Amino acid sequence: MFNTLNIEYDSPAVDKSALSLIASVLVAGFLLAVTITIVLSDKGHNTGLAPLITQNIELSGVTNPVTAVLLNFRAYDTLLEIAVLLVVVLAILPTRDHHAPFFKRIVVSKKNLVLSALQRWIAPAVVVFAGYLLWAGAHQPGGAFQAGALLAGASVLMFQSDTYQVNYTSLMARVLLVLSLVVFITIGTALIYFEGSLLTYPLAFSGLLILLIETCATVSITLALASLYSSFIVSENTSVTDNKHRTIK
Amino acid sequence: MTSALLYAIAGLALFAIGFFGVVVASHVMRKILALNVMGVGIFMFLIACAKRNPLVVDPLPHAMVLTGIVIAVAGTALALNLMVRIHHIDQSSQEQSK
Repeated sequence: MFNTLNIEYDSPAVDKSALSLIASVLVAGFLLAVTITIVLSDKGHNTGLAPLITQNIELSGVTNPVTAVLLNFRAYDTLLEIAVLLVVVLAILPTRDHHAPFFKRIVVSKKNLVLSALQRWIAPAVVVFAGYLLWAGAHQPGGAFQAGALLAGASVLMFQSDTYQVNYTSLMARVLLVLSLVVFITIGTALIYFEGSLLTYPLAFSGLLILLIETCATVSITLALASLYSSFIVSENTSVTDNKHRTIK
Repeated sequence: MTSALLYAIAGLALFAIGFFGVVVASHVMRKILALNVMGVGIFMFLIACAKRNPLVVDPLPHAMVLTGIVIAVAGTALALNLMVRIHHIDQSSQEQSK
């Protein structure tokens, strides 16, 4: 498909690549100079916010500092990140055919043996490993986004092997897509009532709340990434039919 | 020279390569790819910045990069979708003009 794509601007008569090369070398040189100046000025004594985070790590409910930053100290970022992902999915998904079932099994006459065998072997392992990553996020590298990305990879494999089809515009899919944002906002605003400020977890429940948010986030991220992948195939078909309608008019 | 500085400089080089690609490439697909290369360069620079002090690793840039990767994926998906849409509209208008 991309070989035939022909979206080009009208290029000027003068070859500007030499000028651009000079410009990017200048940009790189400037950034290099700034970096070396900064490195020389703090002489490796600057530890950033690491001491602050290590001091307060016991208040966060998890022992992995990155997870502590993502879901406790800077939980706003993660909330907005999930919102951005949802906005992109809303922008891309065509709002149609929401009465179709969430999950459909297609009967394929000519199966791709390699892909279907690969899916049969890898998909269960990926689900188990994603669950492990989600759980491991509390004390070592891992967490909702890694688990979600893995599961989305598994669903891309599923999508490629053409055995199953997920309808991302069904009601079930919509509920699962917004699940994490709804849970996140609900917990955040409920904590205003209980604790006095947005997304300030009580010490006793912080680990549990983080795990709850991360689990919902895994589901939503998986569905969001998989729907983003499938949107290319979907948008291709719908655009073609759209064009037909346009020519009929 | 520490290894962190080496990684930071490599990140800068990636950023410059991506910048060159964005300016020079005429095809939208190439522009999107170049923007992604730029983004990866910034992520690499941030990760290198997390280890400015050889003894302490700052987790904050790691969290920022983790957030940034997801946003970059979402932005790329949106850009690619718009590109495909533009392509289809372009094609249909060309057919109509014929």
